[in-house]
Amino acid sequence: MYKKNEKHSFRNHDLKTNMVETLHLPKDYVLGSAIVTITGNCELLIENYKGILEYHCESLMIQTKTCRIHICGKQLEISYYTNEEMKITGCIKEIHYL
Amino acid sequence: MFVNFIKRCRGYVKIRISGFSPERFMNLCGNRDILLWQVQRQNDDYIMCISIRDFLCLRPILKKTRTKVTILKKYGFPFLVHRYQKRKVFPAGILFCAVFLWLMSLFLWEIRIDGNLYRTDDVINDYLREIEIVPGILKGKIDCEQIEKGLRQRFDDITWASAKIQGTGLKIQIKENTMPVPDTSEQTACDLVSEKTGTIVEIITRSGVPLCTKDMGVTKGTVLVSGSIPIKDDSGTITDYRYVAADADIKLKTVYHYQDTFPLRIMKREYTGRERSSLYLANHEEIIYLPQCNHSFQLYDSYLTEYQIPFVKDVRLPVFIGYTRNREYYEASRKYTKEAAYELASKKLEKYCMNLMEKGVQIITNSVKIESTSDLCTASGDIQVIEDAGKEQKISIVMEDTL
Repeated sequence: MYKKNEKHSFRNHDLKTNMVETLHLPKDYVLGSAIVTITGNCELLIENYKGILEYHCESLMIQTKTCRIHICGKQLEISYYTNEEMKITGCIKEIHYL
Repeated sequence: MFVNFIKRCRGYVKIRISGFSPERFMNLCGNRDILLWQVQRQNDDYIMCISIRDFLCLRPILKKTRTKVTILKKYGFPFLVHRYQKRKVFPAGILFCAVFLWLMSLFLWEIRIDGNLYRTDDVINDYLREIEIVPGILKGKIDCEQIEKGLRQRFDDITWASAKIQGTGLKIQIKENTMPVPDTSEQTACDLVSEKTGTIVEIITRSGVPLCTKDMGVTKGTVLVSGSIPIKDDSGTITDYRYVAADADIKLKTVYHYQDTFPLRIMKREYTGRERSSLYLANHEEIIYLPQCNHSFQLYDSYLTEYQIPFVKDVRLPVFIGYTRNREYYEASRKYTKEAAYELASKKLEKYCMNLMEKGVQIITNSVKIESTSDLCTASGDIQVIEDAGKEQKISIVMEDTL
């Protein structure tokens, strides 16, 4: 059984999501969702994130506002990194949302 | 590509970050709007590129994250300037050359004329000089349409002219009138008179009154066909004359007297084999020899070969490079042998006959004899020919008051 606070936050989250979907509001701005754009399996563009947690040649962990994104692959390289977006190139095998 | 060019112009460095938390370093860079690119992980270190301006702002971030930065390589124009700051003259020289070439390309350095057969290049160049179109003037001052119009007005036989500026050259193409000039003599009444003494072989009259017949002997000045046509009344009395331009095809048998004499002893050039050559540079006014061509020849032939230095295909600079070759000779007295003199005289006679035939003269007999003495060789004799006769002579019309 969920606790009262958790139940309250779930209800708020569902309400927020419903409102965004009903009113067609931008989800990245309202909900703080990250935008992930993948081109094939060799290029990945991420926007709306907080920062990098871990970076290795085979894995990259990024913290967003709502979750963590874990990217696994080979020869991963960050083409560019700014406060707003970053581009990852290499051989991307898996993307996990944690 | 444009972004890379801007990065190179501003300059950037490749650095290695090592230390406690490089990821925190990257996050702090992102928060302070510092762009990082080509980020790679090498063992425990991070290799990345950062601009010079942002690199100078890294100190507080490095202190905060307890990381160390090492510059691996420097890229861009600022580092190039710093590396060659003691070599200022070299880039200045390159810049000067570029500016000089651009300045030179603003002027006209060559005039090319094509399509002229009857009018020589010198004649057309003289006209261009009159209208101040010479090598060395600014291209902006050249009005091609005026040149084309001027050429057509100045030279009657130029039916089409085109002037175009290509690079640093002015290309003029002309087309000359090859159609025969319309015969205006029909407008003027005239007789046909004989220019030479001879015998009429054939006469076909188209206009006028023929005063001679076939096999009739004529002398110089004899009227062959008259342009005055008498108008008779019923009784046969001449009442008036009608004047026309006499026209007829008349063949006259006449004689050309051929005489040619030349000495057997001549001065001939014998080359010694000694030569002196030199290169030279020249513009339109001066010549500079490299090296100076010194020679002590008294008699010599000079051969000049000159080229205008092309920069690119249509851009020619006002500099000519040439090659001079001087060959020494002396004049030696030589004497023709009898056979050589005879051969030379025959060749001259043959050339004379060929010239006559090219003019439409038909040669019937050739009784030229070639004789040689100890000093001279003489070819003389008569050449009997049939040629066109009849020269126009205007009729002076006297108006009579009939009343």
